[in-house]
Amino acid sequence: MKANPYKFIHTFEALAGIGQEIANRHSFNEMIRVSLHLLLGSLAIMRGGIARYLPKEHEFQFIAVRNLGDDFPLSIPISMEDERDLTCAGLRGIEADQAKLLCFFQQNYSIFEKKKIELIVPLIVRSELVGVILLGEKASGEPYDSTDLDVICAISRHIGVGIHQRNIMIELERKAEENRKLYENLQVTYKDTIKAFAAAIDSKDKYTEGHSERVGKYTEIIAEELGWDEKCCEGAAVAGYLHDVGKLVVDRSIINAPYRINARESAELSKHPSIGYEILLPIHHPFVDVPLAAKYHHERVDGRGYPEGLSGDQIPFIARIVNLADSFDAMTTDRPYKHRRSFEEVIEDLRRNAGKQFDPSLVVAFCNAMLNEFSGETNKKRFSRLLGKGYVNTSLAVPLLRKILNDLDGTSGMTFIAS
Amino acid sequence: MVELEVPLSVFLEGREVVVYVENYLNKPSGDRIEKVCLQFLNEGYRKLILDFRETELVNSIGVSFLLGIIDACERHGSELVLTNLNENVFNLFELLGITKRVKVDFIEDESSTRDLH
Ligand SMILES: [Fe+2]
Repeated sequence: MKANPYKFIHTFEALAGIGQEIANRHSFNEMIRVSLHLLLGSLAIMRGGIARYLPKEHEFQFIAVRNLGDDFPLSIPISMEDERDLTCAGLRGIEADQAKLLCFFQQNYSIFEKKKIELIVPLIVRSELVGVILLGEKASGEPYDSTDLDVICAISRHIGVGIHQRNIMIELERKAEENRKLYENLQVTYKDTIKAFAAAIDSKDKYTEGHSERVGKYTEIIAEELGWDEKCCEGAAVAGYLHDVGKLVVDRSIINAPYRINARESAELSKHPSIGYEILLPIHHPFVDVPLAAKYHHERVDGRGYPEGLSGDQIPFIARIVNLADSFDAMTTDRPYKHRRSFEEVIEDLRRNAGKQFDPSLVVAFCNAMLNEFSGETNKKRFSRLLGKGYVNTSLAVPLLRKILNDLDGTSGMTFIAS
Repeated sequence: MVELEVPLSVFLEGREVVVYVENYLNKPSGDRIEKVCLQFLNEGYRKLILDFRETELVNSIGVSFLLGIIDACERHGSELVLTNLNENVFNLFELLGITKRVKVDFIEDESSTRDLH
């Protein structure tokens, strides 16, 4: 570079500026526009444009142009030969005379000549064509000298890297989107599988058709009432759907017995929580507590449940929720040996057993959810759909729920009555 | 009539206008001044005078915007004059060959004001 301090400082300032532009993370198009200003301004080049190369479309697409006029084409198709020749040429200024050998230059010769395009710089990064810079005449009207070409190459290299980085980012975003879709599909598959399992479980028991699905829904309602986030609520539903999965290996005749089962049969049936746990444990669930819900859903907070006789906080929270949902569904549906009880009786039962079988805070949450629906505070008709029409008399249910919530007020934090 | 506060413009007789360039000609001020000048040209102004008396510094981006104004004037067949450049700015424009392309009226000199044309 000629030892001229002004020019040197001016060029240096442009080079420093371009480094900063590429590093800054604002909009890509803006970065390219500013880069073009820096390039043109550093050597007082009257006009020019920066295009990125779209390999699939085989074309240059201009991102920034200055003083090229409205009639300048913003996308220029290029041939495979052009792509190869430009890549071979590497990152250097190709003067118009030489550039005439390229097909796209010939095809656009008249417009390039009219716009006084004097220099073409292929942007090559890692032996890959990522774009091109077209430059017009210098303000002085003088030809480009070797120093100019050095400066142009230095700035162009930065611009090329900027475009390359952007390409990588687009590719990453595309992959992330692809993964997101795959994950979504997997989730759909997972949910379908869960539903299929629930149906399989219930199909073993001809009297409790839809039991697992309802328990899943009641569990979800309680989780929602507790203010869990969407993902956890979905997970809670899954835990409910699958709580009885162990029944798949229990003899069908025991499950379907139209009488109260005997001790041997009862022992056989009481294995289903542990069997369920074994089945669910090796599966990767989006919600980790699913196997625990199966294992402990017959535990009672007073410690008189099975299989381990855990009490109070020893019982995993999700299992306490499923236990309440399970019992509620058992009481509100007909069983082989008994007709379902009235809604009022069921609610009374929940209150009586708060602190014995059930976690009182969960009874409160559950009753709150019911009250919200039956008093018309929410438009959701979930309980009505699950319990069937005509079962709940809201004029009786609403005051009863209010009374029970009032009675339980302050007891939800009470210690569990261990046996 | 164009109504713009920045950059300051003074209208002369005969479709001429003086536009005062800001203290630092860079991206934001360059963007503003180019827009204003294009607007004047579209409204048929025949002569644009860019007054650099306030301008201490011009960076590469500022130069690029100036080239845009030069090109626009050439396309519109309007005259462009740069005036009251400080020595640094003048030297830069001269080194870049801009003074070969556009008329420079005055530069501010410590001792006297030189008339270059
Ligand atoms: Fe069960």
